[in-house]
Amino acid sequence: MTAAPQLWSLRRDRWIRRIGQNWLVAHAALAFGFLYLPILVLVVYSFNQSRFNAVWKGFTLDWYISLLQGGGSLGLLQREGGGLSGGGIMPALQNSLVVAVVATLLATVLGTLLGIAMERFRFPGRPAVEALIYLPIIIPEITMGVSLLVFFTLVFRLVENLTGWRLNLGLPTVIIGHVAFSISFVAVVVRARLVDLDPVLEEAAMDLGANEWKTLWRVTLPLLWPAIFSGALLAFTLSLDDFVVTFFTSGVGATTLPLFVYGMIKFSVTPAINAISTLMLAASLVLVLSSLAVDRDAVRFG
Amino acid sequence: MDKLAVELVEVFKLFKGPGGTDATAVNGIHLQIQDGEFFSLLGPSGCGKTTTLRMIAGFEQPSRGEIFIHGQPMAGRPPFHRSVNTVFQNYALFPHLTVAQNIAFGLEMDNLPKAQVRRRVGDMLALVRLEGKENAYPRQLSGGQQQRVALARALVKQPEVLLLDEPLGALDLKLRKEMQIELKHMQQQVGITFVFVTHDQEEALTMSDRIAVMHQGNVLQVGSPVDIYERPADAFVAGFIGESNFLAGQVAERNHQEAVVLVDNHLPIRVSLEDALVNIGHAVTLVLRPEKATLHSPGSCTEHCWAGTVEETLYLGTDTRYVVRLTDKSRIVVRNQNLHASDAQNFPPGSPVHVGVHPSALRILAAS
Repeated sequence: MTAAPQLWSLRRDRWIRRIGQNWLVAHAALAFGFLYLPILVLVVYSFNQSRFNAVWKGFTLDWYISLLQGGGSLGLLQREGGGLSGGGIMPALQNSLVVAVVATLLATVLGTLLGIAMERFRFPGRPAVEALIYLPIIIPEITMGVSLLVFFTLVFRLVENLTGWRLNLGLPTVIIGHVAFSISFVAVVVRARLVDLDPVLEEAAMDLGANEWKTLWRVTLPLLWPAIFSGALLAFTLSLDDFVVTFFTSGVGATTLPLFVYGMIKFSVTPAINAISTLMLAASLVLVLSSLAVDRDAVRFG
Repeated sequence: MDKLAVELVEVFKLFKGPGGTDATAVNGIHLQIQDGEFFSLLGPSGCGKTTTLRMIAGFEQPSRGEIFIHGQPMAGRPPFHRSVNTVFQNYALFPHLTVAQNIAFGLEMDNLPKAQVRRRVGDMLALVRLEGKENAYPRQLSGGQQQRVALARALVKQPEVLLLDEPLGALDLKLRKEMQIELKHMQQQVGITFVFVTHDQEEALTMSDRIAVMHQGNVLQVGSPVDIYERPADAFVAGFIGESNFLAGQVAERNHQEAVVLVDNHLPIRVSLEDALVNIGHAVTLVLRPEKATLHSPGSCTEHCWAGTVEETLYLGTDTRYVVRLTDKSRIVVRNQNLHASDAQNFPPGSPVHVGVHPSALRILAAS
């Protein structure tokens, strides 16, 4: 007689657990839906024959083809894009790539050195630098953009007063802005790897006759290479996608791809935008995935 | 042989501890290591032996005192300008380089011509019996093989002194025993001074020409394995190296060579003084190695004899370890060789026995 209530409570527990499990699955599905459905719609409609996103008229690659031809066969792209930047999509893409490549190179070198300095050297004020390193990551991007704009304006005025040279916003200021926020990401990634790197390896190199410089080149950097590469890819992706900081620091003629897309949307959302966005999405995805893969590869050295 | 390879003169090392207090890792030690010697620094963990080694290598600077390598003062000289090389505890092989590249690393740092590098790397691979493994990466090797690469990488530089920081600690027992002998042979073959850090007293006894026993930053005794084992300088050395019985007593008489010691409730025993500084009336400790006492059935004991009862009998294969409770309630450990298969059954727990002690087996220490 005492077994019955126990059995009942067992059964009840099982039901609760099953409901809980189902609810968890549904919850996860919803969350993923919110995240990815809009993107999915965007990708699907980039293959739409219609000029308008609302109705599906059949599959086409025309939007991609026209993009590859520099938007030439679509008078629309040329005209609307031109309204903002005085150029088509190809100059914008070119600007984006120039900015991303140069900013990545600078940020990778500086970020790597910063990461190494943070982890391997004890210097006065290190805790403060350590806190500052995370600031560009957590600071609202708009604050960063505005402060950079104010900074450039001040510097430009100072330079003009001192030398008479008149400087303007342009690709160089966009690059400086991108470097400013990318350094932190590179430094954090490099540093995380360096924490796992046994300092005794560097001691071993010195023991075998390598001075500090050779130790850095022959041991530390090769072992950090996956993290540096991973940090560089991250910086490249961030730079390629950045809108806010670019918006504040670019002048006339320095339109990058995100700015160009934004300019187009002001007139109408066409499948061409979907196509550009899909390509940018694909590029970012490839970069982030390879960054993760490189970092995972690093484990085999660990 | 009388040239000094390494000399430490009153070397201190203080580390900044929490709250601004300095922790003393090495407390003003003196060491003189002869050229071509296999010299061990032996002690429990935290005794300062690894810090001492790291100061010789140049990874740490002494807080005070001086280190000389072949007469050259080392103060302020970085590791890469010292003619010593190190075999690290966990080998510290470069994971991104192959075996051959690891071994070649030090030679490339000296900018030797490529042909010479290749030849010497080949010679080293042969010495440590790793031919055919030159293109493997460290992670593809077993622990013993990694150990040999670490050794080859350090030896290929033909250093004046090779420093080894518990290099066998990560190996299993059987491999460790093999490597001990191999390492000793290799040292004799290459004729380089080895400074070997270990906490394993048996390892130190097997391999060393001389041993420095360290404890709490101090060097307690420097001597040959026989010196250290047979004539320990104090109770710590006697207890750390092998097993010891300690018997408290008092000096009743003495002349130049001998003292008569009264051990509580026992007959007076005559002990050789050697270098002990004791006088009549002084409290002393007698050290007795378990294997230097013998067990007898009552009546058959002809030496200096203490009566007691066997409390515990532990069969260890080559010998049997007995714990005997003496009539004054103190315990004494005795180890006797099993010369015959039946020896182990001679004295089961509870048997009344006599412990025979030859006075020459006792070492007298001034009680601390």
